[in-house]
Amino acid sequence: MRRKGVAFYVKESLVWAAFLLIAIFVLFPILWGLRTSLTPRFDNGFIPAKLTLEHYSAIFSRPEVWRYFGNSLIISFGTILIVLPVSLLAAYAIARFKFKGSQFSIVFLILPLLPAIALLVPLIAYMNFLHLYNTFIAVVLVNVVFSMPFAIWMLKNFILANPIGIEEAALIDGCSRIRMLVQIAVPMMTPGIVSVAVYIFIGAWNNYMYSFALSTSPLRRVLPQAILGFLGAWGANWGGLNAIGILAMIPPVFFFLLFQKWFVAGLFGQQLK
Amino acid sequence: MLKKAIAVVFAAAMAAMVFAAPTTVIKVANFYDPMVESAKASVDWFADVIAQFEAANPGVKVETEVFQWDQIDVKSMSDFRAGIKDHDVLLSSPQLMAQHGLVGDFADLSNYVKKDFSKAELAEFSWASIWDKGDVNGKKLGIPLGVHTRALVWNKEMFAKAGLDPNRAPKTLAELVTYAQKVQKSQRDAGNSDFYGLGMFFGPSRATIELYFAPLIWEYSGDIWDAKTKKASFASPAGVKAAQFCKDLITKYQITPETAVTGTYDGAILDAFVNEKIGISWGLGSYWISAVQDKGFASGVFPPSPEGRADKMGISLLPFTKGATFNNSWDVSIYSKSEHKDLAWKFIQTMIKAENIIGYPDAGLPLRASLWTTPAMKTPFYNSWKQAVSTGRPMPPTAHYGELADTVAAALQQILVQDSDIADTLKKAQDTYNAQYGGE
Amino acid sequence: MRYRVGKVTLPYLYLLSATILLVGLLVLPFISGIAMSLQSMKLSGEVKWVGLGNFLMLFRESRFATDVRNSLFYILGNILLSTPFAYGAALLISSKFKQAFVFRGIFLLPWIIAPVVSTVLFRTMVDPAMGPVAKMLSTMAGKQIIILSNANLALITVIVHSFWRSFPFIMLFLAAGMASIPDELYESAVVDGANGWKRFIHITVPLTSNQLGLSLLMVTIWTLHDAETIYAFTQGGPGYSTETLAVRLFKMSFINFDLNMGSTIGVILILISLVFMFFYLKLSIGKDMEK
Repeated sequence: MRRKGVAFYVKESLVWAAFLLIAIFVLFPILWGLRTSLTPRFDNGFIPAKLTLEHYSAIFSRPEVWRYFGNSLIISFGTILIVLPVSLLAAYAIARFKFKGSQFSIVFLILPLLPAIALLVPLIAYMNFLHLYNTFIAVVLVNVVFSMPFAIWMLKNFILANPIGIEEAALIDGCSRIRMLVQIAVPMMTPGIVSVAVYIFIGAWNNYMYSFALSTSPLRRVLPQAILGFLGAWGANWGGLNAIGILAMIPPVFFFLLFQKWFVAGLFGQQLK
Repeated sequence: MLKKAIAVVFAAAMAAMVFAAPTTVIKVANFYDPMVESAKASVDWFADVIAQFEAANPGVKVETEVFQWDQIDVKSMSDFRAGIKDHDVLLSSPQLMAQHGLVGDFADLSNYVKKDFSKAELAEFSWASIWDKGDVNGKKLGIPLGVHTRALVWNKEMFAKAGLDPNRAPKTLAELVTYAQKVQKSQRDAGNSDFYGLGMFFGPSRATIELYFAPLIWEYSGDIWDAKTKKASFASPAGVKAAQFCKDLITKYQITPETAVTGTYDGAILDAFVNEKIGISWGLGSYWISAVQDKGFASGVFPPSPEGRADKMGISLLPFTKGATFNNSWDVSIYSKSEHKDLAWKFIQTMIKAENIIGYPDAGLPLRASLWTTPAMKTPFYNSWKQAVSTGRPMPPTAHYGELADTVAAALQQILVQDSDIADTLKKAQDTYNAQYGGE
Repeated sequence: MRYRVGKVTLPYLYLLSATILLVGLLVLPFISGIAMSLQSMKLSGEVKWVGLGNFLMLFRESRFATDVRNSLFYILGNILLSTPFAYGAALLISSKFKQAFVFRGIFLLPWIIAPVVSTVLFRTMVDPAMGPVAKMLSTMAGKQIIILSNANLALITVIVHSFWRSFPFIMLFLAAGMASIPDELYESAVVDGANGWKRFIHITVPLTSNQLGLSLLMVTIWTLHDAETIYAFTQGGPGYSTETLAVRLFKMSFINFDLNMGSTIGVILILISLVFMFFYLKLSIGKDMEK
């Protein structure tokens, strides 16, 4: 076995350095935020004199925080619940069927790239007309519409990666298409479905605009709205702001890290064993 | 056996639902977020009033809606346009009443006032000029809950240390500058290096023109909006002088920090003062009386008591010869599409009862004349504030107040931050505004 | 490979739910928005058709010119910073190093955090009283620097924040593209004497151009539409120096209640978005044809 030469070690340490540099760039704001959230209120030094949980306890002692978390969860899961079946059907059609107008399916992917912010004003009137104003459903529906393109695209990739032979075999055996979809195709794509769900969750959890425009009641407020509101009202209380920011980060980061492999594979239709 | 039990329970539940007294729900919209510390007192006050109201009106429940103070009026208007009926009582700003008047989202309260205000009760309110600032074309769209005014305050100890009479207020703008310079020098010499003599605020907020720019332009005999021509007039020579003065404070005299153009109004004016980062604060609001008391600058003034005094803090009118300070109030209004207007009016009456309204932290100074006659309100401390109330002026009644305020604030920021030519910047902004909104 | 369908209506049925949602919640408001941009409503509710009047009024404003310029700077700044960084990061995580997997998770973090939260994080860092970035700049400059009240620094801050958030997304796409490039291509290039840089330019870049194009398109559009982060940073100030078209729309529709002018800006944003999409499609179809 050849001994690894100096060149190899130099290269390896350069690569390490590159990794670390980018990692520092990425992590610094987050770590600084964490540090600030644990710093007592008027301590301005670089290294805080002592660490404190006062900001976190101040947040948890307010019952409203649980409500905001809960609302964010409701909206995120509600969105997943609706997007998955709708997108699955659409993706299946685009992937497997040849039909007149199939080239227009690109429209599904293009339309939601339009500015949601521009469409919010008319949407308010619509939602009111449908008696859905100030409900979770309204926010969920708008989230659904704007996360559909990516969901359809990702699911399409997964479907295309499924061996078509199995599906055909099931159909020939007399299985109805829907049954085949549910009992055969979907289980084969579990990583894909999970990764789509994670993506949708992150998008819905982080969204501020739709809830801001479509619901007025503080009972329906979601976490990003609450944070933005505090930014105005809490002024210089960076400790508190960062604390609630860090808390808001936890669910999406958690789910993402848990399903990271599937998620990345899913974006590109790579089949995961 | 179990099935029978379930059936009985089910039937009972159905019966309960059918025969239970129907509850009416009314909504009260304010801007006191329970999660924000500084709003806690107001949140508690509302909770008390609601409890009183619900006790006196069985079968009615009150739900609070919370918006941000600078969004509540727009939410009301846009919801009204979208056909939403789901609001009843709302807090509002008189500066935006002209706009509300045109949009139509507030109900006319004059009949309610005629019906339920006795002569004595009416006299309680109508002495103050702020009473009819919620009126548009004879319709009363809002009932003021108090009076907000602003004063000039200074740190007495710092004055003494700088060789100034701690009880003497600067009487002109020139004196103000001199005093601030002296205090700044004395503090900086003592090692307080990031100290500034005069606290002002020029951030991207309505507060900027209301408390700083408008009073200055009034002092120079101008106005930001001309009621006769219904056009913005802030680019007049008076406006240029006002902007120049603001700029000089930062660049020429250097008694105001550059941070005045950013951050929050509270931070620049209240926090900086109570944390002794500035010696004189311009535009301290009457709604901060409890805050300055908490920090030891005054005692016995919130709630007001006959021993109220401000030992560490001097108060006076703003140093104007002709100008005035800005007065306004938070008003309470009824949504015109509300389906519970009578109940909403009852709620408002509960709010403005003398024993309730005196405790409303955000009211500022009391509106009811009777509340000013108590010994607690006759202290020198409150006398100064009363003077400010009587000399104050409101914002001009333009229907596009929001846009006007933002345009002027942005122009001022361009002048202060980007060093652009004053007359030119103001003129451009004025022309843009008038092109779109002149005449309303 | 697609197979034929027995019943003709089946695919349409599958697409039905998606179509209803899109038409109801996207196309219809879109049309309403266009209609609103051609109207002017007096506060009293009276509606008047003004055709292109709103647009003309905007085009004459110097503020509008500033908005457009700021939007362009914002987008360009973001893309120009993100692309090289994303390429670098993608190369790293595509390499055979065992650490790549762990770092990939870290690198994706900015994209997963809510825009509001990352705004808070960045504002903390530039806060004059306790932010490390502000303190560092102040020490270098010798006097206190208030980053967000300096027109240029504020814009730079907003751009850096946007680039911090966006580059992971581009990186991910590029990495996927790189993963599908067969090793033989690189090996034969080495045999031909090409060094690392040459290999990068002649193999990696062209073969990831699709992914680069698509991800840049999406980032461009997101950046164009982004109002909430800039508003949370500076509200468009100081003056109008960080006000982009999206921020202007937000202010007009939700703060100043001028829904028609807001819709006008909305239509302008939609048109700009369509222009970007059109260019992307043209370029990618052109590429496909080349292949």
